[in-house]
Amino acid sequence: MPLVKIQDLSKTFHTANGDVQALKNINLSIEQGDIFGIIGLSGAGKSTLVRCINFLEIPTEGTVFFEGKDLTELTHKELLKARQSMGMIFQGFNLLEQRTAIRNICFPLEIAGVSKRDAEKRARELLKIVGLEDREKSYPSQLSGGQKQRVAIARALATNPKVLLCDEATSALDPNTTRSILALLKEINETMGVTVIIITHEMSVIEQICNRVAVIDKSRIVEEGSVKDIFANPKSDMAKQLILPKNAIHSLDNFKTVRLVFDGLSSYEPVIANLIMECNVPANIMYANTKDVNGVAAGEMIIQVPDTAMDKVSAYFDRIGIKYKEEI
Amino acid sequence: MEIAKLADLLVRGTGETLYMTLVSTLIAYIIGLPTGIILNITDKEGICPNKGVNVVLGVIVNIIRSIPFIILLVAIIPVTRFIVGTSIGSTATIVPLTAAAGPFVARMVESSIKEVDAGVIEAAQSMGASPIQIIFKVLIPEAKPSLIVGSTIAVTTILGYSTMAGFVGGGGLGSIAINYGYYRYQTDIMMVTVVLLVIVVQLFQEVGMRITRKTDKRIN
Repeated sequence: MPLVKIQDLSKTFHTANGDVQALKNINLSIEQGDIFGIIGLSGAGKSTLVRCINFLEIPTEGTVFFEGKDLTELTHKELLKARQSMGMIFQGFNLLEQRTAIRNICFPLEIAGVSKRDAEKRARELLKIVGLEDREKSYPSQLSGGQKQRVAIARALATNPKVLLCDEATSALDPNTTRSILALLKEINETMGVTVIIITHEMSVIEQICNRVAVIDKSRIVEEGSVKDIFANPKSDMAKQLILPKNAIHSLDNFKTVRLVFDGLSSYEPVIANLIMECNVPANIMYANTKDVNGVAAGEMIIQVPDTAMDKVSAYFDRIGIKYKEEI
Repeated sequence: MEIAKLADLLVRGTGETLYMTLVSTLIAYIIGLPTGIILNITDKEGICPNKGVNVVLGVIVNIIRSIPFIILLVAIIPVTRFIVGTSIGSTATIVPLTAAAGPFVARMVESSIKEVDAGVIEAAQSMGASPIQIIFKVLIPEAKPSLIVGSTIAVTTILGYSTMAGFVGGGGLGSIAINYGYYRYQTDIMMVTVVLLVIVVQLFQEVGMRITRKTDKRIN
């Protein structure tokens, strides 16, 4: 049974300028333990989608099952209770400005009716997990953006939720802080078994921590699958737009453009150097975005090779097991 | 007039003014705070949208607020007589003061609450907080500094109204200023009462601002 199952979900907003359909017929299944990314451009409907998961927005049609329970069938009280099993963090952190870090973390526990002593004990554990045990008495105004998001994460985890919803949680942070927050989310997923759903417009976020991804475009899910597959072979226009390099690369006459995807080869294997030496072709690197992830090469590269050498080049890539595609 | 007698008069007047102002402010908040909160939460952007309640309450508040205080003061004399037993003196003045200040306070509270970041309210909702929990744990505590600033403005406004009540025998410094300064042309006494009023306003303002600075955790 999936932890979260979104079924035939549509959402229409009635505005002064007429109806706006924010989501059209969405179907998604998110399994226990997933780090599930939902990516799309702004206005695609992804923030509405995440708010439908905990019913902050009530779907116009369709429903959401959480732990097998149909959320549309819950009473208001049961829904409030169910939300305690779903943590949520936001782009703007949304901490209570008049409360210290520790009292912010105690807040959802107060709502759940946990005694003050137990709440503070739990809050201290969480501050430790997010690495802020020395900032317990700080007010949000005294914390940096990354620290605020850490407090928000601790707060979202206070009631031991099954799932953590992240609405553009790193979009307001600089690249280094983004990386550390994503690492923290991954650690929480691995050590606490919390399923994470991430809404973002940045492919790098998906690439860094997600195992599954859904691409949303103009209110619809246009592609869904494992991050590896979609990254290697994006099918929809939106996925291509998000994944492939932005500046179009023009093919020269008599040359083929090939996109290579690195997702498992050793970082230490000189793929291109070997290609040149073995096949005796003048490979030209047009674009590369690769990095070393624990000794494994990850990322992509676009090269051009002469038409005539393409057979040899394909054979070489097939043999070393690298994913490639002639294109663009 | 002898100095001692004058001093006695002014001390009593100041006391009455403070009594009217503070008691009226207190009652105005007992009425205005919940009203302001209801106005906020029943708004279509609020946590419990309810157009009917919002419109009815809003119209009542607007009607009372548009009546000039000096007219309200006279118009509700029967009500004042019914509640207090007389329409003269500082206790009687509390009735029209409260009637005028309640709706004013309601609007001040409504706007203070409106300043609370919608994202913070959404975060509380995402944790399963009920509307009552949101009111007492989010809206009021987060708006507290703004509410205190508002109450400082309210108290000085009510002080101003209370002096107007001097025209119809309302007691306090306002009465002294009118009876001695205006009707008897004793400008010096009027000047003294004005100075006393200025000092009282300054004090309220200063105390209010100090409390605000101390409570607001955003400025640290």
